[in-house]
Amino acid sequence: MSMRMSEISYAYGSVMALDDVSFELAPGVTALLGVNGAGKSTLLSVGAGLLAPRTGTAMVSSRSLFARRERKEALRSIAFMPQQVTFPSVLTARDVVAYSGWLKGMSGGRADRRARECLVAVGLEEKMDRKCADLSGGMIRRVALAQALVSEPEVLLLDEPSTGLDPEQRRGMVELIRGLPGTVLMSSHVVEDVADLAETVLILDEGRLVFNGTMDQLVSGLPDNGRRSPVEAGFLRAIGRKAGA
Amino acid sequence: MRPYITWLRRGTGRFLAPVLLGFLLMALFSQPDWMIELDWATRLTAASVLVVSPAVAAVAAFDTSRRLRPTLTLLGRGSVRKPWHIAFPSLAVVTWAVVAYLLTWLVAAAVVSINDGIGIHDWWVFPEVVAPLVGAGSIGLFAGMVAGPRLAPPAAVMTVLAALVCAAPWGRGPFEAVTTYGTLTGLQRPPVRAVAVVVGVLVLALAVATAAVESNRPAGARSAVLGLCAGVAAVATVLPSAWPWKVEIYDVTDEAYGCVGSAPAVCGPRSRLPLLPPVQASLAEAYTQLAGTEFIRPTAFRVTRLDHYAHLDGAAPLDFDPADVHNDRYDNDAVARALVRPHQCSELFVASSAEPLLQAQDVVIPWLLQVLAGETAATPVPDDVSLAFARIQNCRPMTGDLR
Repeated sequence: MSMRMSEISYAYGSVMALDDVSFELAPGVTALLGVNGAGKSTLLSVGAGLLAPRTGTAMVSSRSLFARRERKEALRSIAFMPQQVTFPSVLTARDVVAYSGWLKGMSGGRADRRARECLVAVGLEEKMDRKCADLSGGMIRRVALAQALVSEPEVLLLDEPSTGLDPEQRRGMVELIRGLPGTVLMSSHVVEDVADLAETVLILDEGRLVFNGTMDQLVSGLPDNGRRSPVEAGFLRAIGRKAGA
Repeated sequence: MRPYITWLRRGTGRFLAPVLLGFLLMALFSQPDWMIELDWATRLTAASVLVVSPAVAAVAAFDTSRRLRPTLTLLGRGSVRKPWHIAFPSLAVVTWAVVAYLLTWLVAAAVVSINDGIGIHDWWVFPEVVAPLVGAGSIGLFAGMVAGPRLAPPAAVMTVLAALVCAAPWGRGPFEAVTTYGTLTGLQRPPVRAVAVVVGVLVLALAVATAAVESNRPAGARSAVLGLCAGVAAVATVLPSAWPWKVEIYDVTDEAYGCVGSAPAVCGPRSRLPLLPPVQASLAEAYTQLAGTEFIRPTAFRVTRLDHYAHLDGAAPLDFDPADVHNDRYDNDAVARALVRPHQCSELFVASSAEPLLQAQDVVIPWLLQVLAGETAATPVPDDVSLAFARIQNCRPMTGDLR
């Protein structure tokens, strides 16, 4: 078991963003789908230890993310790639990634070495000493991925990793994610990416988990009518089923 | 500590430092009187803390709000490190500001050394400058964490100024260093008040920084903690000034005195003796010029400060200011002022009786200046000058302390 969330609830004021969400991540890539405002980013933030849930528990590598004594070790095992990224314009790509490694407990020297390795892995070898202000949007996304990889986490949480990327860049990002070891939970709007990568799917609708299963289960019984992908159809069916229940 | 080094190298503080250095050097060299006394130079630059603190707070707020936030603070919530790493950008700004002051003091020390001046004796100036900068940095950190990028720098500046205003009714606030605009010869500073001010500012800094760190917790800021931080910060701002101190900021030195020369001897604190030979030489020369006149020429002068006359022991009081020494000579103005005070007259401290004595001095001094400049002979002494000086010589000598 890499990550298990049990009965997680989170609210922004009086607005319930997550309502009694429970699941267990298996190794490999799990896609997290949902319409805008469904609670995907909130769920990922809770899973990354950035937001404390109102109720419920989050376990990573059998350690509780929000229990005082276990939190530190649990945090070492996870890493997060935010959807909206604004890195300091004056820091270089290597500065940012090494910074992230240091935040995860790595020594300065080791963080620097791993930063170099991760930036090479995401195809930014030539750009690693450029300031973030001088990097394109696609490069910034790859820096965001690199900073998540630097600490060699067991569980990787990626929030809309393809956001803002053109089709070619998106393809490149998909290939990078495909090659990642360990457990990955990624949210996405891009159905093709999900179909390509994920073996397991979670679907959130209005803060509730309405589907938790394999890709085959999601698309089973759906005709391929050529106009809409089976994954998209399965997604719509999942949230429609909930609406009709 | 690697991120701290990163912020030192990349943050805005590295641009602040040269600007600050230029400003401090300009302030220092705007007047030359400190060049034989390093204590004077350090205190002169310490006065700038009042202006520099808001600038440090603004730059720290800028780096925190515009650079650290939002992504690095977000990622920082999931960090295994202690949450104080969010203070690194502010700490880097403070470091650069301290570097600017250190470089300025090094320049001042070099100038004083070249002029064979007196080295530092009041070491409290260093924490008194550094502590407000740390406090300003913490205010910048807090403003940067809670306010948007456009609002954070001005909010930080306003907070620093507000702290000054809050403490003003009782005197010196947390972002002011003790300043003098003159020599510390004959004075010393009881450390207790300096310690209180430094500790107060550092407590303020810790409270404000704690509130900033608390604002970035995954569970959200606990209002009880924030309230406590606000209370501690408020008390720390006001208490060192408002406390009913029984000691003054400066006091007469208890350092042993020594003397240089004779006819007259000039006596002062031992650490300041190297400054006195030009004074002694100029007074001795004046004595030679006044030979044959009825002017009392005291056998000794003794540096006095803060109207402390208890230990004159027959010596004349000397209101010594190193700024009155130029080209190894004590200015004629200063010589004349010393010569018209063979003893300190107690009448000068009573409004009704001071005026005649002051008028008498006003008659004697111009004549003395002409004699010292060689423009007129010392003898015969004009009648009005003789009468005036007789009035001065016959006043009631002060033999104790005024306060």
